[in-house]
Amino acid sequence: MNIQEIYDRYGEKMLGYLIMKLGSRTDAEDVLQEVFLRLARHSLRRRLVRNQAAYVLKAACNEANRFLECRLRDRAERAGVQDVREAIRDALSGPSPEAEDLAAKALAQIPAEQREVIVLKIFEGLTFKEIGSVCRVPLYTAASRYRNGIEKLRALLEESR
Amino acid sequence: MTKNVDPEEYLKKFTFRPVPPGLRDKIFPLVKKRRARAAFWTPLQWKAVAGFLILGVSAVLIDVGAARSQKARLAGLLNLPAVSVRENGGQEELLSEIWASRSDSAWIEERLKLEKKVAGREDRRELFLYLKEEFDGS
Repeated sequence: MNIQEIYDRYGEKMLGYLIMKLGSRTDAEDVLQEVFLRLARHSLRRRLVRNQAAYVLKAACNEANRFLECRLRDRAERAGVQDVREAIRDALSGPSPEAEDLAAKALAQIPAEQREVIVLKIFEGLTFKEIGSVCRVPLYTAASRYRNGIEKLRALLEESR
Repeated sequence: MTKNVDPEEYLKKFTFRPVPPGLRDKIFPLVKKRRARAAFWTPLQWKAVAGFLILGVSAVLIDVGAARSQKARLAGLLNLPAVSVRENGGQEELLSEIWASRSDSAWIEERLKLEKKVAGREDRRELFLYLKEEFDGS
């Protein structure tokens, strides 16, 4: 599968994941470009992987982490909760604009690493093992992040009722 | 929304919006451009290197072919037996083979003696020149 086909098949998921992780559409688009540059460089490795979805999401995760490290080094400010909420609202498509707003509000308020695991589990359909591999954390850490995130989301959704 | 909301079920109703149509045209030309800039050698340089390699290999092959044909020609002219190239130390064996096959071995023997004499004379001449230089220098 060449990078154009990867873009066609996983581009939407990758961009959505990056928006959720970075909390900014502009940053997500910049990072997506870096991801495709890296995928183009590693053409042989790309052909050898068995789980293509997990591999491309891992590449996106690594590139996003590199981007965040650079941000930290440059002492640039991370996106605020309001910006993250806007970005998530912009990336999600739901049953109604109110529902989208509610989901974006709740997702923006939980910690980024918990949000990342929830996105990978619910939106990308990965297993905890795959999530652990993508985020470079043990399986149990991924599972506990998910559980804690879901609990927080439950509280936030019930609160905003 | 009901009181006991299940976040998993709730979030499953959502999907990511499609990628904006212009993003593809933005990403791929830039990736291509940056790949070309970061390439170890440009395509033209690769072609030049390949051309030089082909030239080098052909030169070696031509040289080996020419050496073989010359050797065969020389062997034909001197009426020498067709012998293969020997490793170091095989010269004496080769010489004895040639020696045995030649009818004019006496002539060759004389010739070798003469060569030896000339070589000895050259040695003496070099020694003389060396001593002369030493003497002149002091």
